[in-house]
Amino acid sequence: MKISGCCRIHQNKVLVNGKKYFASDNSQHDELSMQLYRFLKTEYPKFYKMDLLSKMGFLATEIICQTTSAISKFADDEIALLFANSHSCSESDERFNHSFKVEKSPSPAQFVYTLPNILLGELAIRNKWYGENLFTLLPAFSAEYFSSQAGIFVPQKAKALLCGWVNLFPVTDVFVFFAESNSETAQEILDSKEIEHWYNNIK
Amino acid sequence: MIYIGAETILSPNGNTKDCFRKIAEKKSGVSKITGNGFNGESFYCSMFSDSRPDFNTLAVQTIEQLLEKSKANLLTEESTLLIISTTKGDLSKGFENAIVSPAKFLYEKYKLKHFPFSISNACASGVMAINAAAAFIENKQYQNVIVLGIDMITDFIVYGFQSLYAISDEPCKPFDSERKGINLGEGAGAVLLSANKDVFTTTPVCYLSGSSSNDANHISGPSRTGEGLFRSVNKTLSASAIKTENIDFISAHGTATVFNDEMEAIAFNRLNMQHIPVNSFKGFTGHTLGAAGVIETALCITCMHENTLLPSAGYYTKGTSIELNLITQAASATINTVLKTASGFGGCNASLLLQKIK
Amino acid sequence: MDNLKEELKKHLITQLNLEDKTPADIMDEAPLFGDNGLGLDSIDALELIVLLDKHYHIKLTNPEEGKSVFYSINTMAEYIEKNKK
Repeated sequence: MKISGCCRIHQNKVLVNGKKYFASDNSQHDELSMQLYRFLKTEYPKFYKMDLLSKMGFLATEIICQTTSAISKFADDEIALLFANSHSCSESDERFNHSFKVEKSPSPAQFVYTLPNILLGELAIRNKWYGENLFTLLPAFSAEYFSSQAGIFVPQKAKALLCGWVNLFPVTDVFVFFAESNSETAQEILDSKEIEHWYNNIK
Repeated sequence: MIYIGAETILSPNGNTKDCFRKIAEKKSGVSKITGNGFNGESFYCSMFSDSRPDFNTLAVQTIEQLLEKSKANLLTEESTLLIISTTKGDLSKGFENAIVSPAKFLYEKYKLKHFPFSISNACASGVMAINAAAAFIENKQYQNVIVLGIDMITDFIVYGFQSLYAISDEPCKPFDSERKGINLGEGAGAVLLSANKDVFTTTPVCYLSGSSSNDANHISGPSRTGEGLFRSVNKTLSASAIKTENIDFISAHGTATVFNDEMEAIAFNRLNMQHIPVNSFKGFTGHTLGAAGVIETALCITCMHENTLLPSAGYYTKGTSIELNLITQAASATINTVLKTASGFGGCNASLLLQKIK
Repeated sequence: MDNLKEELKKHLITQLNLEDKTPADIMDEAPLFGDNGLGLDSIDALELIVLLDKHYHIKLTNPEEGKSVFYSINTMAEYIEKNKK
């Protein structure tokens, strides 16, 4: 398998396929995500309602969809969404907790974001992707994890993968990549070294 | 061939055997909790009463019970992986560590060879975790995978479902016309999947296939057409060449919310499965969220061994636009092939097929 | 009443994260839900119940009631006028 497009958001920098794409003057999540949203000139009112985890995953995916032509050749259920992080949706958990502990009124709009896989739902809705999705929690980024997942999803359950690591703490650490198979039927390996290379390429 | 067995449940309704027997007798683990809602409301749920275990203790007890049904030292073998299925993990460890902390605890306690993966995919987590386990084995990355599904009731969860007006103020009634919402539940379930039948000391069944699909419709409301569930079941069937007429029993998700149950009825009708005996275990176990798919798969395996169809709680009158064949009393039946489904927030749907060893 | 409607629009934008909207974008009589109006959904409807309670101390206990109350800014304002304490 090969990686045909990737987006890396590290602190205030955004790189696409290893090249500088955007830099914000502010590495605060809220500011960074709003600046990047405006920069992309995307019109999607649902964006404002998303929690930060979904916003970051959404933005990186938008960039990949805009810059990776290969993604459009797949049918609506051929792309598996495999995302992971280490802290789940802790930022939304804090907000919902605040809504009932401090504001004394539990917020339904915040509660629905207290599941990390809501991000996958947002991507599916935006792109009309009906395929496999899985959200996993790992103690730290692991190229081997994604390589191993690629082995179990392609070609049996999907023809291509949109993989994502979306961590917000201690700093924004987002890596989303699109990987596709060179063959229709044969089992292919997605080399963890290639994943590692793009993840570490943040200069 | 992939085997699945060593089915284990630790719930307010007891262990696997107790749980099965009580459901057969229509005794529910759900009871009234007085005054614990956000505004002091009373609500119904399935909660451990005396000596309520903490998250890690429950996890350990469940794993230990599973290990009694499998070959010695299996857990610490190089070829064994542990997958944890949970929506919220252990919130007492703080939001950032709630899910990874129990994984680390089990990793260190048992000196596991591989750090456990945790899957958090809303209420479909359990079925997805079992599917992931089977795929790891099929791909020969591991020989044995233990799937532990576990979630506990907290104020956080109760207040959240209250804010969505999703909690029933009476015992829940999946698929019934009077259904008013869910009963939450807590507990744990575990199953072992393996390429090798000899690792089981009780009889396993076969795992045939499984898949997931997204509704691509709404983050909290189920699809009105049952699209994701329809697609997932279709993929699961075609992956194993099992036909609708071969399925003896469906263990549905059946949360007892108005929209979820209607969505399932529509999807099963589109699949031409409306005549197959179906139930929801939620009226007996409560909705145990990330544990549900594992607990219910464990119950399905027990039903297969006992050749018994277990009833759904609280079903009296058709409450969906399409009639389903709800099981209302325990009944003897030959159960060779079972379909298990689950759906959850984020538009996720998952399904899997089990079959008795021939 | 007009002041109440203006205030309501501001609360709506904050509570529902409608950051791309200004009060001027929200017509008094336009439906808040569905594709022809503001495009709010079922979670927004529940969030509006929270809004009524938080800012006007009005408790709507049955979400079904919300359908007519939250039809438009006009219907919301009327309901608040009638029920505020």
